[in-house]
Amino acid sequence: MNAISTEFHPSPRLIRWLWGLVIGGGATLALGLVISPQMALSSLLSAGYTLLCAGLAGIFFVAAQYASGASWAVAFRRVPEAMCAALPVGALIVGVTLLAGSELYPWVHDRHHITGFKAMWLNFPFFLMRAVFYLLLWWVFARKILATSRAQDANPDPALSQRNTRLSVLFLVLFAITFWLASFDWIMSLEPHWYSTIFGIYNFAGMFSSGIAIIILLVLWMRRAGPLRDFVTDEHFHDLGKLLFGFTSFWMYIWFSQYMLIWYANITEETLRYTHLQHRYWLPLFILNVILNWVFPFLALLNKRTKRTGHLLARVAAVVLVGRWLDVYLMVQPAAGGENPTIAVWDIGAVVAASALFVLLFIRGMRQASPVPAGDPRLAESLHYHN
Amino acid sequence: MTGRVMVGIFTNEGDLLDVTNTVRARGIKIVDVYAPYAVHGLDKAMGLPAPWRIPWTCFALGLFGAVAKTWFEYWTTATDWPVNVGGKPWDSLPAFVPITFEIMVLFAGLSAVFAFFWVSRLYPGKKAVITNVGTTDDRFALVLEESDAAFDPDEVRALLESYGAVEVTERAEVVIR
Amino acid sequence: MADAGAFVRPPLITGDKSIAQVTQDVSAPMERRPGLLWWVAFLISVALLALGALAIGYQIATGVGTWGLNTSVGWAFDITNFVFWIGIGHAGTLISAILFLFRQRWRTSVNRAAEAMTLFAVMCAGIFPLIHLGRPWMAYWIFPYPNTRGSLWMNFRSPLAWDAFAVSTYFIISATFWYIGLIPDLATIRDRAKPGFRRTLLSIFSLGWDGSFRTWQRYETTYMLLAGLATPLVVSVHTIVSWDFATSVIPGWHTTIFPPYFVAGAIFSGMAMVLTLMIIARKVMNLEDYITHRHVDVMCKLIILNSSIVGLAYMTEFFTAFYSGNTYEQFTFINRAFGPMAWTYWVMLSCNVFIPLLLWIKRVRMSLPMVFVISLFINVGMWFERFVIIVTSLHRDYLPANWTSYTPTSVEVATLLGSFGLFFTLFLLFCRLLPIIAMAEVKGVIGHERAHHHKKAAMGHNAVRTVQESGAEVLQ
Repeated sequence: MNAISTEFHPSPRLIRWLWGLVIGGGATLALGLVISPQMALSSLLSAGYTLLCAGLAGIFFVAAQYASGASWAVAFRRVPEAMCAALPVGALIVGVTLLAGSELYPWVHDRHHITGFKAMWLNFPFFLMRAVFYLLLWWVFARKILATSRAQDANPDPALSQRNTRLSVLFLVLFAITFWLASFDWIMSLEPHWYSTIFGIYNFAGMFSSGIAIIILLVLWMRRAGPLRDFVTDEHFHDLGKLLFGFTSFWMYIWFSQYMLIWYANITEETLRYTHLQHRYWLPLFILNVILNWVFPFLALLNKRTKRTGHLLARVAAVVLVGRWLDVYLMVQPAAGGENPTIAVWDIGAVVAASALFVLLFIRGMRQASPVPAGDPRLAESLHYHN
Repeated sequence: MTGRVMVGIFTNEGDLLDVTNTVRARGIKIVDVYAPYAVHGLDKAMGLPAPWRIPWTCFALGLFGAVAKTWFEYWTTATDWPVNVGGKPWDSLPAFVPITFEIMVLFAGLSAVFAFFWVSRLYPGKKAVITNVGTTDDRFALVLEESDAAFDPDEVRALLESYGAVEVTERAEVVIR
Repeated sequence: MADAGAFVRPPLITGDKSIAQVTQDVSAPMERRPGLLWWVAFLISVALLALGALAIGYQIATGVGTWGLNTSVGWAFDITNFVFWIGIGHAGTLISAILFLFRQRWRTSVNRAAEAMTLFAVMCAGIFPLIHLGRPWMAYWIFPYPNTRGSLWMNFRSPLAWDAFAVSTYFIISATFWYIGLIPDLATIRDRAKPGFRRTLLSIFSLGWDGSFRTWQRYETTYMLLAGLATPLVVSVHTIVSWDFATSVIPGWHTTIFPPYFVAGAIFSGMAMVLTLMIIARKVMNLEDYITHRHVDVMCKLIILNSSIVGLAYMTEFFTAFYSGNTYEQFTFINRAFGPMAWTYWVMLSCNVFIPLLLWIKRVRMSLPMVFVISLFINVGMWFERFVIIVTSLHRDYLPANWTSYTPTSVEVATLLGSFGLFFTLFLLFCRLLPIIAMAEVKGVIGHERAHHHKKAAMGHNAVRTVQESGAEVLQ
């Protein structure tokens, strides 16, 4: 069986480049922390949160596949599994940023109008304890699911799939509750007087639609680089493209539901966030967010050819990823920013460093196990299916 | 089109797919296949191109519906007789989205269906020309054109039978497509 | 290799049916005289329908004073029933369109009946806003038409107008989708029918369908397009229903999570109603081989999913009311759970969140009587959910002087019973007159399984062996 090469050897030059980008981007961020701590902390939070969400998207995808008993994605499941390598590092960055919370979260010092349940909930030690709990919970589950999946390579026992199905269902239930609360804690409380019940779902929609975009890019890379060449077909990309189409539209639906209801009711506490975003130079970014995250992918993916052609699909996925950065930027920055949006050198540096770091972590994760879950009883179905 | 046809009746989707592939590879012209359900992969076996008129009609009329409705809402609410409701702006775009969406779906959906009826010539009162009584029950009928000089009826009959045809008939019949 | 059997997917249709047998089994109920059970059920339904018709006639002739509404609780029974029925009407499209896009082939056994149920539920839903208008003969005012008053156009900014457009579009598209699916089956029955009136009627409605594959191919394209359109449509309908409430500034109504929460709730209640009806239908119509334990199991899992989403939404609302620091929000939610109408809240919570927890147990999912009872509880719970949202948010508003309560009058209850009468009358007629199972689609599943099962299994084994060998190489 020499014809099938499943080994993955990224060139040392690529690794050097990636490390260079991480260090270079990190240096600008360090500079920012000295010059303008609050602004740079916002970028650090954005970077850490996006990195963490990329890892979460990986484990969520894997868990959703197990829980629904779907087989189509088994052939490339190692890619979302490898994405989970971003979890501990993302968690670390988010954790460190939260520790510096007094600079970022106005409620830490300014307790004006923070009373009753809110005073109890937005209490700094409790806030940190919750964060540790969420991050540990996700990491423990990801490790367990991954370990079980990898154990199946050597021991193709269907009982391991069943074990992972149970673990995945439990994880999904806990994840739904904790991710919702985490997005309230880490992002929504940046503006402590603003609230929106849909905010957790909005964050989930952004996390997962960009997660699918990442999976698409990585699977394409793994097909080109070798490990998945004989396992991934256009059918897989067709389905991934459909998923991207579906979830970018879901993101739009949630975005519009939140915006329209706040616009319509026109209650001061709620419009706070949007009035800020609809003035001055925030407005073009506000509109661009919708174009990158929905209008463009929607129109592009209507066509079947886009979904089945690797390089076209890759472009759409890349646009969605740029949209994801903008979306997180627009959630995090306005709280710290002024009249007009500022994009400092460390904002760019944080994006570059986090992206390069993600790729490095992915490579590490990918090399830890066989690139194809050979012992999975559903692999055969995944290799032979048609849309 | 007028001409003699040969009809092979099959009972299994697998046989049908195999024989269709073989027949087409031999260059015999397939008039049509009659089936009780949409056999997956038969379009490729018959070499049918993907339908394009229906999706494009659907897209174009859906787009037309959305644009026309947005214009109409803007015209009635902001131009023709502006009425102040709850202090909302005249061009309340977010509030126009829901109905625009509904009209878009309505136009796109109905146009797809009517395009389908039009392209496939389905209409109330049309008399169904049934090739074999079983084709709406459990039989598959492969209809081949005999007009080609190279068509050897005996050889093709043997071919169809080798693929499990339960019945092969030749008919001089007018098939309009 | 403890339980390898669990990963060989069992056949969807049991009893090793041939394709001709599908035609036979599904057509049989339409070709024989209805049994006693059917007549009893039909007469009860028609009686309820007559009761409802009387109640509607009486309230329209007498006036809106026949309702239990008051100045504080201006929306109650009618709107609850409207949202309840619209919600039920969501499962049909979920099963026929969304599950189609997800390639869930088990849907073929239940999609026809679920779609029919959707149409009938939307008809029932349509009655209530019409009555609630007070002057139903003016209903056409809600559509924009050139008139002699200016023209004074309708208010496109009103969520109630959005509702009228959403529900009518939903009805038209669902009916079209349903009819498109029926055409091949109507042709099948036409070719079985004896010459006569029935055959003529079937010929007209089957549009001269002859099973040509060229037509089948276009049919598939059209079906796919309609599924793609129906999916956002079904989401939009309940979203817009939720906006009837959420665009207001009333605590308990104005909350941004309403759209996805209402959609999940709608699918939840609709799946419960599908289960209720299908568990009866498989027994009465002898369709045990087509609607199997496996179908029930999958639907139960979908119910678990939606029950969890609804439960999470309850939590989010409660949590955010406290997180917001808004005293009015907080009061509304405390009043829901512990106020004078708290029992409705706890009925809702028990039926929608606690009782469905039983479905997590496989033994419960495998027991049809248990599933049936749970599905009834969910139907009740989802009715109460709408009642809780609507009435408990209104009955104690900003001014304590306006605080009051609400009790439905006998006329309102009779109208609700009448809607059930309409629903079951139509459903029973459907069972007699049209194929309750999508024959062509079930044949597709059986034909495919029969033709490809052996071939595929062999291919699969080779592929796995290849990969396992290469996987082992990598590990070394």
